[in-house]
Amino acid sequence: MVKKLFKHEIAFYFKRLLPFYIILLSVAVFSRFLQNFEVDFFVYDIIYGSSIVTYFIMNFAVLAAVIVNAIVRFYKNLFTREGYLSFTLPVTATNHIFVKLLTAMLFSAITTVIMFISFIFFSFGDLFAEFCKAFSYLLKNAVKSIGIDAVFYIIEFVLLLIVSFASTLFVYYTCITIGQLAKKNRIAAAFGVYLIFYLIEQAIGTILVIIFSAVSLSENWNNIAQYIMDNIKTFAHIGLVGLIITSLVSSFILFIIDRHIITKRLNLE
Amino acid sequence: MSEILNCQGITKKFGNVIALCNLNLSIESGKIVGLLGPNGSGKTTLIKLINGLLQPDMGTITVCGFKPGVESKALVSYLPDNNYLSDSMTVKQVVELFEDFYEDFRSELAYSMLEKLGIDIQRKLKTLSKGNKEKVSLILVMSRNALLYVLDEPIAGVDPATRDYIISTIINNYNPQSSVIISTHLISDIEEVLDDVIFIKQGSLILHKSAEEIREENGMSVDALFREAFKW
Repeated sequence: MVKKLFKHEIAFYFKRLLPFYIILLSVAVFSRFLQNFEVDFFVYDIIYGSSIVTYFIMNFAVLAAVIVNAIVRFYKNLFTREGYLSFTLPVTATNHIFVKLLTAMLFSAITTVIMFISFIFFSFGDLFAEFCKAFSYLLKNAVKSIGIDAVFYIIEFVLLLIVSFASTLFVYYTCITIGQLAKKNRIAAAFGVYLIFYLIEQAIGTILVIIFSAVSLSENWNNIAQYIMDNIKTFAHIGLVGLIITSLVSSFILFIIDRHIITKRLNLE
Repeated sequence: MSEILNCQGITKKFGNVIALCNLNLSIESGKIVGLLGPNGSGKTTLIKLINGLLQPDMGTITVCGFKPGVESKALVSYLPDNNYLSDSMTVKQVVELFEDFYEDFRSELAYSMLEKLGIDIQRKLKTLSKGNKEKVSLILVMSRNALLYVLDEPIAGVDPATRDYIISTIINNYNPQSSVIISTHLISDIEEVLDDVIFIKQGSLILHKSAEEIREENGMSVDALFREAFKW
């Protein structure tokens, strides 16, 4: 059943995002094509300039489209009249939640690849060669100065990106599911829940800054700072792994909330 | 005959409103049951509970021996009282979705019924009229070889010819070993096909008898008895 759910989710995203991908790649190719002509004419300058601006706007548009589709799909397919079909399929709430999450993450990865391919089209030639040179120079220097830890940092950083994205999606999902508990104006309630999440996040951030400031003003701060600098590689790993674990824990808690509301408190309008 | 549906002590509240109060009900296989009651009597609440779309505050429901969940959903074919299919899908895509998720779905039957109605399966649902959307939804539900069919207001809001089509589709395509629960206000249209009748009032079951018994004991049709029982 999970495979079948994936199949239908992927079909939905593909239908929605394909036009964005086509436009992005087309604009990239068109813009690169215009670079071949060195024409001193204001109309050409306007067209060429517009194509570059359009290309960069399309990158943002494609990214926004993935996030918006992830949120709208979760809401519409589960909490509007489509929910009468979704929740009468022989599929568990856990399956529904995870398939939607994983499909959104899959298409985020696909979108990133499409954006990179569009960049290759856009900068094909000298510019892309320079980009590759700069990237490999940075990588070589990083490995030289940090050593083999650089590889682990990259792996941890990529894992952190993935887990953070999942955590962000779970925040949106949970805002929507908690919003469903309201008797009226459920979408407005979801926005209200999001505001509360944001305020809690800001409060936690402020508390952490206060704690850090207090520690940095203490007598032992110089010793602590020196110890950290002497073991910076270890602390960097601890920091990255710590953030990964925090995102995983928050995602799990939010998933439990979502599943509880869907299985015990669902009341479709 | 085996028991298809069993409700014991079902109570469901929405805030201070008691939608169902200590409802006890048992439905055997092979019956077409009319679930009748005025607006707000609790029919849709009961239907949602049977389909796992709501959880009871008290009591238990079992469908073919299962609590509402993945196993029971594979055995129950449900038609809600609203258009629940995604408008952006084509008729063919919706048929394929049902084929994917329900092992008992008979796609050849669905396609033949759609062809008889002259519905182009490549058309998107949003391009169909309300009546045709209702027919597509009903065809999908009745193309399943389910043990329990639950139809919430299947003939409301459509013209008389479409009502006749819907009723004949229900009769001609359900498995005689299965049961059908039909919730409706339009009793006179559906009375002749009902085996059993349930009257539900303010969340309580006030009558559960065979249609034949009702007519013999009361000397009136089920429709007339309904008007009598629920008059203002």
